[in-house]
Amino acid sequence: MTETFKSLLLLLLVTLSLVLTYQLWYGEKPAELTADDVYERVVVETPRPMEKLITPEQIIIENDNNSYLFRKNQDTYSNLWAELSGLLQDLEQDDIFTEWSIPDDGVSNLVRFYFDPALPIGEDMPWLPYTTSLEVEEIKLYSVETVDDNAGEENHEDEEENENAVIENNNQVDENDEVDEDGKAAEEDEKEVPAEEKEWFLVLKKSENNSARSLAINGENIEGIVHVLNQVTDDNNEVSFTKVGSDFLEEKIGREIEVRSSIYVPNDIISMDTLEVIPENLDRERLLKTFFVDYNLVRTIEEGDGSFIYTDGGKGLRISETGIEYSDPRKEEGNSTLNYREALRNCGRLISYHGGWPDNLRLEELVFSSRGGYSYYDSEWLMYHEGYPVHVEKPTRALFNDLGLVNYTRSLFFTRKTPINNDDGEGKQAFDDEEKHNIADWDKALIKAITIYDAGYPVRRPRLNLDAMELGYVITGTPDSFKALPVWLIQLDGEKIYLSAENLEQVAEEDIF
Amino acid sequence: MNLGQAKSILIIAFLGLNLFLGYQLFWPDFGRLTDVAVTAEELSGLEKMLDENNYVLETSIDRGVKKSEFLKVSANREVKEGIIKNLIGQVAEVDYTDEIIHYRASDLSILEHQSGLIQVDFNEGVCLGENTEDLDKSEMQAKVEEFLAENELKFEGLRFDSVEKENEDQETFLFNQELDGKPIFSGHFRVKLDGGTVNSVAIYWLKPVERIPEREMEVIPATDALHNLVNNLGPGVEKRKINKVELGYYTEEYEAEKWEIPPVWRITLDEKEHYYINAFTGNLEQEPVILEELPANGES
Repeated sequence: MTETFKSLLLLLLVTLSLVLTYQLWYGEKPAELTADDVYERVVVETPRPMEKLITPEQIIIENDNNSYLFRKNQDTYSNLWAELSGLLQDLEQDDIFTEWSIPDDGVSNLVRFYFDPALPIGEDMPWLPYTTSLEVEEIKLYSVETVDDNAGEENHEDEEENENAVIENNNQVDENDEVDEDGKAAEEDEKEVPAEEKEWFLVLKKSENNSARSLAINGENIEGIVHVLNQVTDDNNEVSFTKVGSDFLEEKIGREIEVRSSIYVPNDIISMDTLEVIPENLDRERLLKTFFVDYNLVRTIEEGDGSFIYTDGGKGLRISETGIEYSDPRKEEGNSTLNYREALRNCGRLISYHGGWPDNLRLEELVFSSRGGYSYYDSEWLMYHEGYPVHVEKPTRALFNDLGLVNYTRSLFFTRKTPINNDDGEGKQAFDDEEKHNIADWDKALIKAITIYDAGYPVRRPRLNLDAMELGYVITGTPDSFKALPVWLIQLDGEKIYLSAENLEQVAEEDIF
Repeated sequence: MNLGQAKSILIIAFLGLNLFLGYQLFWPDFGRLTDVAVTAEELSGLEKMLDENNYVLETSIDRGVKKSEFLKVSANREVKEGIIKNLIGQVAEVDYTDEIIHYRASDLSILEHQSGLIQVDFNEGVCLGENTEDLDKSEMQAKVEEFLAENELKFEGLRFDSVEKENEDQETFLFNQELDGKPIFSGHFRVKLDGGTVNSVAIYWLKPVERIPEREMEVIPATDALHNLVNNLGPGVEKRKINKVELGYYTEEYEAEKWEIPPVWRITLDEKEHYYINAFTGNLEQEPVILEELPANGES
């Protein structure tokens, strides 16, 4: 009996040792312990459609030898662009009498739309989808009064005849200007003729190779734009601007200056407000989820200034009180094969996904760049307050290639005039006039900027390149009391100089948030 | 010997064998019976891959499923007070620069870096005894530990890690920090010796703030970490030895208030190079990746 028990026990132990050895050597995780990756659904802003991605850099209305400048976050700008964009989207091929090239000079313009980044038209685009593709940097709208009812049709039958009609008509307007000193007669003459009784032309121009496309438009389609234009020219308070060229500046400043872009300066005194500023309220949790697929793998670094860095060891995201910085160095070693239009859509998707695209934020730049054998697209956005760009230390900017987002900075400030608490009795919001300042003259600002620029070099440069000269705001102060200070931004040979628009004191870049 | 006695001996032998196998499978947690992270095929596949890339595995691989969590730490600045008090006393000449505080005494100086790294330099060195050249590694280690204890530098959780030999005379004894049995590779003591004389001690000690148990996750198996390392380093020009694969925590030195550190697989190559593979993501750990400056617009 004992021997039988021993035999059974031995058999049991041998079997058990075999089972344990097998488990130890070949043991597999049962299926229920293998967890699938769980991706959390993140609700983000819907990317803007193409027609909302591009807006004009500036719109210039020309009337009676005066120019009026409009930029982002101004009613006239929004209305004119909405009308033009709608027109270019709605135009059927039948609405255009003909399409041909005409000389650029010698025509009287009513309104110019400058685009930087360029406006893509043609196939697969919302604007003029039936035409051949073109990246448009300038659109001019001008009109010609028809001599009689049939003049328009006759003109369209013959290109040259049409061009002559344009030039003749333009000369006629000039003569009127000379005869009537205050210029009102010509303006009234313009207004007296209804839109549908004029010939309207759009010139779409790509400045790079100076190729242009001219479209003759039916007057009925242009009424919306004409209505907005009339509102501006009727407003006597609107400040007029002058376009400055190299010769004009040389005469005025006494220095050889090459003007590198379309620069308009005010003819009258302009007032600007020092503005209250509120940094963008960032949804930290949501942002994290948009940058890291599995944010459980992300670790946090708390910095002394209250900022947080999140990293998974490969890519990093820094969120501070005033913005975010993101970098994924592994994607730097990539290239971009996207064309301009695809890149445009992509940058729109990226900003919508990573924080959103507020109304007053404009896409300022989209350029293809390369560095160290790798290529990428570089896109940049700026906020606007009533036509003035709001400059910050680190602008909202995305670098991306075929691998994805390589670098991203986002620093947005929402501006508003300083309100006064006392009620004016009519329910309207009153603003503090003490925050309103007359800005210094543009020529004094330019001279000051050149002085600062020259001081940085041992030898005075004989010829300067003026890349930009515009009014805007910079964010200064401390995190407790940010403010937007009106400035002249003057860019000479690529070097940006910020001058307080009130007293022309230089605002150092390290003082800008 | 009769059959009965033979059976008894075999019963005892198999009982012992089963106890050993049971211990291997069930200890420290009973989930290991069914929860093995590395199968035999994976292990042999790894060895083949290593061989093809000129690496050789000279250590055993932990095949069990491991779990870990992030650990929140801060630089332990409190240790500085104790070090100054023990080594210098009350009186010290102090210089301040932007990033370093320099404490000077007659026989030593202490540099305190902004990150929390403290470096003690002994002007004349501290001799650990006579005939130290005759001592073997473990005896020398005991001498170094004795030196640390005498100077009240043997902190709780100090754990001997390795010796880096620079030449015949110069060597560095490396200690790191241990928390609940897991090494924190970044918390360290580096004791530099020259011919049995301590020249300097570099101390970077971390203060565990909290564990984050709600983020406890299964870590990648050591085989995956080795695969990732070889992918990152590429094939070896000469045969490279993998001496140790160890799970612990690792972080760069940050000038931050506090930060979370991930579990890592530390892989030691040729007994001198350490690589840290994030045990959650499988990424090779490196500096945090926030650029100071983006390239200028349109830079080509």
